[in-house]
Amino acid sequence: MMKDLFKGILRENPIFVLALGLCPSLAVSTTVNNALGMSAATFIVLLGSNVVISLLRKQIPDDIHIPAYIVIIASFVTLVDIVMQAYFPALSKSLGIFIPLIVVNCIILGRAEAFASKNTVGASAVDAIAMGIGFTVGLVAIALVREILGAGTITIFPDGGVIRIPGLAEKPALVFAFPAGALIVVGFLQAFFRWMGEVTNK
Amino acid sequence: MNEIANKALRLGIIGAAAALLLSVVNNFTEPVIARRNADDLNKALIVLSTGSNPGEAESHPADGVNQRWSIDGDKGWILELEGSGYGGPLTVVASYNTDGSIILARLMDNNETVGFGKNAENPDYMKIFIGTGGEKPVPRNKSDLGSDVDTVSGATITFAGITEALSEGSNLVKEWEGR
Repeated sequence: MMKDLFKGILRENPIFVLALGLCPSLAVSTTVNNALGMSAATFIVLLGSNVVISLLRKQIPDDIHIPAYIVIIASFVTLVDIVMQAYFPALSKSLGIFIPLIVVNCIILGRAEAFASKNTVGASAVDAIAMGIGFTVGLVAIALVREILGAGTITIFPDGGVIRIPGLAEKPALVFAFPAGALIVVGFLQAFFRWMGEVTNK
Repeated sequence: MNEIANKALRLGIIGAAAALLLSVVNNFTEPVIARRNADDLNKALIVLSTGSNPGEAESHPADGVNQRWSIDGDKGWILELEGSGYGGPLTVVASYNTDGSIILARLMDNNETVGFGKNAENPDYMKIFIGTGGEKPVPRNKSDLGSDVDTVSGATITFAGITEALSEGSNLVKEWEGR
């Protein structure tokens, strides 16, 4: 059980090992607070859709499973989007278009296909939590490296929660703020996480 | 045939349940969002009018302008301008002196990219436009910006959308004031 819960961090990390959800990983990992907000939104959608799809797995015929899954996932995404717009406007503003785009996040449809459609509700919930933790760890790791090197700051809350790193904040390596820098960081972190996975497996 | 009807029915039920759930939630969130947007606009108006009182809103006074307010009757205008950025339409509110020069501006609704075009929401971004539009023209491309070019780099299309809207607003103000 505990092993399943933490499989998302190293052994089956969605970003670094399964290589799912790379688009939001590149797009919203410019600051740490955006990464945290995106992770939370993805987590809720992942948990909701995994549980509902697992509940309905015997009711949904195979031929129509893709449209049915998309409807379920899109409903959760819309739900998160409008609730966020209403009650967390700052986060909603800073994540913008990437919240609706969670619908096409491969992690969610991927887990629905590979896990929730074949397993019990409990196991699917654990899988969603594990993948959610893994996605959060991955996304925050990318954002931390990119923000420190690319902007010289660590933003935990946009108002007043910004840590400035002396030396780097004045002359940041701008490339890390751009998509090319994101790919470089993802590549190095992928190597690091896989190496960690091998070391801990032995 | 029966099997197709069965599948269609199941898909229909899932869709209907989803629609019902979302409409219930939307019922709660829609007024909150509308109130928040109105609040944001009011806050922006207070900042933009720099201590004076904006008059009554007048909707759609010209193409590309959603609303306008006069500042203290005759001190200038505040315009809500429509522009087009990298991620689709964007809204800029700006206050103008009667000679068409920009007093202050804010980027409101937009779908610009996080970390790039979104940076234009930062009030400091608009410093590059303040005071332009009168004798000094609104900067239209990067070479007009001199050392301020770093502010907009990486988000050229956002900058183009904002500057287009702002200079259009400036021209309209000059037209209304007969200059």
